[in-house]
Amino acid sequence: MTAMTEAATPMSSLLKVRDLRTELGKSDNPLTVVDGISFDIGSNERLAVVGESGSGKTMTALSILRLLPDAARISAGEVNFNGQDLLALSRSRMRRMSGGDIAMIFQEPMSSLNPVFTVGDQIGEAITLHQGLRGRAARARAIELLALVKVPSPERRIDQYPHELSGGMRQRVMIAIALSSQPKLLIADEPTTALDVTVQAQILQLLKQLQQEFGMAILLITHDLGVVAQFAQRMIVMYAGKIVEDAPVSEAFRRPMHPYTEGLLRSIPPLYEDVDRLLAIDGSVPPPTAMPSGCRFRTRCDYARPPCAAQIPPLKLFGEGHRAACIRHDDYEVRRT
Amino acid sequence: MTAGDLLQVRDLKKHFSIGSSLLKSRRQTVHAVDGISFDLAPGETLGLVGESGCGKSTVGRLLVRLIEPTEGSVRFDRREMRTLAGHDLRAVRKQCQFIFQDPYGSLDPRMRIWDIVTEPIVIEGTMTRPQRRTRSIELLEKVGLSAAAADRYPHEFSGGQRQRIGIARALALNPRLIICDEPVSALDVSIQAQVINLMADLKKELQLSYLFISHNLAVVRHIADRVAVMYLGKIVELAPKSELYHRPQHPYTRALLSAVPVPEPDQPTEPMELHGDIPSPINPPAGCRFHTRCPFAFDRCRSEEPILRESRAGHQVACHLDAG
Amino acid sequence: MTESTLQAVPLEKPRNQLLSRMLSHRGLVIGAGILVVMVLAGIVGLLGLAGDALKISYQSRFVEPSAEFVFGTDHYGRSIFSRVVTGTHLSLLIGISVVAITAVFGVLIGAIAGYFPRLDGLIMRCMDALMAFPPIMLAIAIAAALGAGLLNLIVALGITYTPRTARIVRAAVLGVRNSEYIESARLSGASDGRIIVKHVLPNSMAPVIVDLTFVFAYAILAEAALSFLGVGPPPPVPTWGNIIAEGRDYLVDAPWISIFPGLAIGFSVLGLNLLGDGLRDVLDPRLTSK
Repeated sequence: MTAMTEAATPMSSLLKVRDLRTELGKSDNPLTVVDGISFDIGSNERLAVVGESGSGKTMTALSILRLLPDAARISAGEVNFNGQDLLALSRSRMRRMSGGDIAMIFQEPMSSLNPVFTVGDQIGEAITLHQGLRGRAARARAIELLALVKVPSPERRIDQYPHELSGGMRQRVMIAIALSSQPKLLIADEPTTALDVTVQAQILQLLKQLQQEFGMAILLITHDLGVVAQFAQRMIVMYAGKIVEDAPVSEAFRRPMHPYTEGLLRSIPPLYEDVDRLLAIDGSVPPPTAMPSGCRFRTRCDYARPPCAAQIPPLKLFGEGHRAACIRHDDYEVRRT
Repeated sequence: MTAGDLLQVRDLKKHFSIGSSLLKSRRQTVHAVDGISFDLAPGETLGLVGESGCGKSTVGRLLVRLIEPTEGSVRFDRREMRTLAGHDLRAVRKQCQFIFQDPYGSLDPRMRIWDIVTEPIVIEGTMTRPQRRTRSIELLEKVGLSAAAADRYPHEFSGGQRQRIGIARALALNPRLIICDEPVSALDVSIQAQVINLMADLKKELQLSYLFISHNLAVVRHIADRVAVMYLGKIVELAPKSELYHRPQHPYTRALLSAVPVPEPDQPTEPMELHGDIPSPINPPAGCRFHTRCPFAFDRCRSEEPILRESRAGHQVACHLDAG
Repeated sequence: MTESTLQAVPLEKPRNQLLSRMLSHRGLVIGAGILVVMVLAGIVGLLGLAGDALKISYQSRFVEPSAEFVFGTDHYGRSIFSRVVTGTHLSLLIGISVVAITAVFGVLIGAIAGYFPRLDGLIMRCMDALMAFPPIMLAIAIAAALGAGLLNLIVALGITYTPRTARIVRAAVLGVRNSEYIESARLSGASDGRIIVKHVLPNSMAPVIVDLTFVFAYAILAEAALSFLGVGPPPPVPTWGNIIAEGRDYLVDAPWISIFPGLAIGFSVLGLNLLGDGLRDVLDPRLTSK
């Protein structure tokens, strides 16, 4: 039985992350917020990264784009995008890459849009930057993009300011800006969390449709397993800076191999049936200053046994593209693929 | 409805004036809550759902008079809240507490936990300091925190723990009704479940009634007995929960339910298409407020406002569709 | 509730942490050090240990800084060292008194304006009117109306700086007033007075404390300016401004008369500004710009 610790590689990987480690704070006493994670995204894949606050999911995305806040830095690892090591790129080449081949949208579209410029100005700026179009041509392209993200009457909307738009419309504008560079990878950090449920459904549908139309990959960061189930093909579950499970969505929902994934799934109240009691996960995520030894989830885990404290369990392959980091399954027949 | 109702709300309205300043003289009125009525029985939980801007949070604040209503009546235990003042108002408020959404903003960062939890008792002035201390520990233990929490400050606790502290404070004066404004929305999923379980346990143990305000339909279904759906300041549908979730009648309720992403990868949701965005509550549409977005709207919807009426036993809906 | 008896997660200890953050801030420590030196000098001056500031000696007029007179002497042969050190306690007295007046009235006015929206417009327009005057002009006008003298100078400066502090308090109170914990206190039946004293003010103090250190510095500067202009305490009271003013006629031949009180003012203001900036960094990290 060999433990396989590499990423389960999809057919053609667009992005390969290897042993990525991101630290926060002073370098003599750093807090590790992303702790040696490895994963891939296929070139036409919708991947969701799931986790609770403090799991490191947003830091992972920011690390890929090298958009980390000043207090944080990448201390080890490799991020390979389309054959290029992003961590080795010069600052100016990286700037062209992010917002170019890789684009990102955020949770709060209001703070990502500049309130003193019209929607058209802001999309136009991106178009000029990435496609070299100016003036009329840029404006025409901006209207096209707005139509593409299904903003009604784009000819009128283009001259409006961000505050004149609803939250859903602003997020559509952000998507239009992201699409202006025809990215190969779109990173979406909780893009629908601030939106109402009916608007969320529309945005998710739009993203899915655009992803298929343009053949891009989407890395969706979310805490909502409902969104994952409806949107993603594969999901990565993060806990306290580590990947604990990585599997095709239907597989992970049907047969979660990590107790944390299982706990998350059980704690969602069902919409169409009555349950007497929710099965909550006890306790809360330990602060980075007081991480337990061995498996980080063991203090909250129903299956925890003494060996769990001994070492950090590595990710093991449990089937076609299904990895999980739990030693509970050691007596389980690990399939080699 | 019945004489035993704990809370009786009739035609409650709140209109805010905006846009009046030195430079702008044109006044506009926001119809935040525009005539809603419901009852709440002792020991019952009513869920109040709707999207942002529908006025659900305003309703909660109107009931306890954190905001003064423009019109309408709120009877708590058969006493009209709106005319109460001073001592009488405090006496009623004691039985009617509030849990806030933001576990970070609802606790004074400069006070110790036990002072926070027992502040309502201090104001009432019915206990000595040692008695208060004992009571605070009793309350903390009731919500699943250890006595060691008493002397700490709010920033030392996680979001879920702070929400427990907020609940302990709400329980300090032995209320009969607790208004919960999005109490678990700011919490992580696994913590959400803990807090919901705690609230369910407390309800059973202390025979509490909840008005549970939330945008999360699944959470509301889990905790509520009956559910009211709000749209632009009005209740459009009110029914026992299984009735509402399995046989929604109002098109808006159906749209809301169809849009919830179900955590079942093999069951793709098919969100009902709604036209456009929620209109502004400054000039709500004439007739049925939902007609601008409703796929089934017909002429009558644009001119005549549907009233909330019983379509089946206990199932109220405000829609012309099935009214014939 | 057996399911999860949770321990509090001890993330940080607020008090010790604040102190250690203060001690590790270099500017703050230097500023505080200068303030301590000022206070010590003030005590020495007050007790008369630095020599008689008013003792006239025609034998030793215009003595350059030397072993006997470290800062030299002026045209009456008075020791500049004695005068500057004695002046320290006057500057401190003026600074502290102005800070006290500003704190009391600024907090009171700002809290009322911030907490009661109905009074806000009226109160703040009055404050705006006061702020519209250049501070020195206002102080001169008030001092001229009340007459020259230490007490009147303090009152004038207090009135001058109160609107600023009131504005800062009001802004902080506005930020706090709509917090959910204020709503929560109101629901518990707390009166407005209790809410302001127990919840609003303690949570609005950080920017006020920072502001008051700057008021202290401005008060010292303004005293010097006003004394120099002749609307401060009349000579021979050795305020720093008076000493500089007296050296004005001998700047070329005996520059030390004005230089040493000038340095004293410079150091004090520098120290207080370092202290204020440091306190702002430590107490209110959000306001810090890089």
